Amino acid sequence: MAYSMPHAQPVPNRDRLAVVLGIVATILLLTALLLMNRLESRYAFITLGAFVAVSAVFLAITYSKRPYIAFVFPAVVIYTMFVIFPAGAAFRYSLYNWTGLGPATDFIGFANYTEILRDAQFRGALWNNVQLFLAIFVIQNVIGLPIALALDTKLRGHEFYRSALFLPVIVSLVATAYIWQIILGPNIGMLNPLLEKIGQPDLQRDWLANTFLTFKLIWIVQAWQHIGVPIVIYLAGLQSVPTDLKDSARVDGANGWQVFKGVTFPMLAPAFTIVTISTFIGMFRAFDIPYVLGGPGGAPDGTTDVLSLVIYREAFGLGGIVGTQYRQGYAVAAGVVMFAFLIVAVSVQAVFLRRREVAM
Amino acid sequence: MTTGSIGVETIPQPQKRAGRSVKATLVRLVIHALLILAVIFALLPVVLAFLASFKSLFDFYDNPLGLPATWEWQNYTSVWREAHIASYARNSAIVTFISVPLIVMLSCLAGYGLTRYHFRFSRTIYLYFLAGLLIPIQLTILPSLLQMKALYLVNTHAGLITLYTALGLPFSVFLMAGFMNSMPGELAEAARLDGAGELRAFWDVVVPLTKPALATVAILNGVTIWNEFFLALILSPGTPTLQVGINNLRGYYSTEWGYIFAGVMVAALPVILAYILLTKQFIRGLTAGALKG
Repeated sequence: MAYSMPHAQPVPNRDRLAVVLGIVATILLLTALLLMNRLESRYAFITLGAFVAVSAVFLAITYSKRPYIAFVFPAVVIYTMFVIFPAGAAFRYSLYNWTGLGPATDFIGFANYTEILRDAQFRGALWNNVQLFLAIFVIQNVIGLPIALALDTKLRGHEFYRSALFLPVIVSLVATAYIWQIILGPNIGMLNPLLEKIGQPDLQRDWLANTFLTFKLIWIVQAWQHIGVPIVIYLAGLQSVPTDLKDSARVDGANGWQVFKGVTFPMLAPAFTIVTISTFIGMFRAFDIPYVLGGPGGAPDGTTDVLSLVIYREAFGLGGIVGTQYRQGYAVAAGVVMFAFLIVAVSVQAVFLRRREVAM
Repeated sequence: MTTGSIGVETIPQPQKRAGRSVKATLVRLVIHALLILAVIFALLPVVLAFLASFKSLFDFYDNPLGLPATWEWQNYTSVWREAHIASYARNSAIVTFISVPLIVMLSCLAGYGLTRYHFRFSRTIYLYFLAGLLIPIQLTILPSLLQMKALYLVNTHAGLITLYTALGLPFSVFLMAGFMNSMPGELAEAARLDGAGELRAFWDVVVPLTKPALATVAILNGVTIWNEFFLALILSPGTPTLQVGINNLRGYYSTEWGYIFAGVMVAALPVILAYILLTKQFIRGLTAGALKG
């Protein structure tokens, strides 16, 4: 049994002091956060300093009786300050017509949101994110899953195959986008000279400036970078499929496909859930590859636009210069919509896929 | 099951006794051929970019498909000196090697505090951390930028370190808490009964036992932070990390592709080398990262 302390103890005075200090520390932290967001640096620094001092005394008093507070406290404070608070502030900023310079004052209610709903570029980008997800979903199940099945047979060299196929996962997305220039790029791409060489010069294209093809090529680049993850997760899932279950199905006269459909695939359901949801989140947050291959404008003609690029453009324009006047309130509202969409979509998927897991 | 027949395990085909071994061998060969094709697809772009980083500009146009005619090591030395790649690499290294120990330390402490002591709000705080997994960086980036401006942390290492640490915490706490839960608690208990203080027991007993989880957390966050682009681009264009730096190379050398690829390789090779040395740990760490969500 873990260490536990009854809550009611003697020495009530010290307890009471600790509670008071805890409350004071919380108030100081919140004040500091509010001051930070109003860009009032000096007061923010002062209150932050006071917060650190008060919480140090608070921790010193509570440490002997409730050591867990000291263990959890630093992580909770940093996480609250720099993740939770900005997330909360985002909701507030989304209600303002805010350029990003100075505090937000021009309150416009839900106007940003109604504009987003009518915004063609937002809808276009959202649809591109959907396509991106569907493409990767298909690729990882049509190509990734069979590869995992093949590797699961422990054929010779399976560890080498797995390591090699996983390698692109660790290559950064910016580097990935550059690396693919060597194949697709207009000046240095090898695909066009190769087509020339094999006598198909008619197939030569400017691969990265084609309103139809470029986005499909971004799917392929994204899949190239990503597919190691589904392969490894499916492999881990397959290792939990008991061999005797497959064997007995086989003895009953099932062929390979029937064994897969009746035994292996249902057992893979948890892995399938994880892979699908993580791909979904990843593809809806996609930024780097479209940014480097298509530019912040989603070139050509917005055909490679995704939600993150819309947010980036509204906040910083095409040049990406911090501090110039842009519509940051609108960008934040777009971020909120994206967040809401992610939560709803992921919960729906989770419920749906879990139900399927149980049903099978 | 004998090794010889394992190859046909999952291949959709009727089981016919006669000629099975010939068929099995054939099937195995086809599988190997397809896997080799997949491996070539996975590795070729990286290899080609590596070769390209040694090419001269003339080579790119004269001989696009072949090996470099002369190996231009000078691409690396030039890009290292002229294009500030050295300082980008320094920025990346500083940010990564300070954030990762911070995340490891904070998440290990929090994971321990949340799982080894059952106090009134432990479950709530755990869920509070989990909520962070759903927050996309696109939502928080602008308020974060404002915060960083107020703290004078824009374009500083400290700013990036602070945000990477905070953003790495939710998932790392989740991993650490999961690991600590599966660990027997008696050992730390025993150390405490021997008169060791709470922190002493934690440091001497718990930390050594959690090494595998610490490695997972470190690798996952290390690779993520080294490769991160969006946040670094917005928060710290003045102290660019390697990812932001190589993105800028295109403006710096408009067509000197040999230099550009040398820069890209400087950004990619450290992680690739670490991966080759610690393949298993990397795969474990980054697959754990896929659960994020």
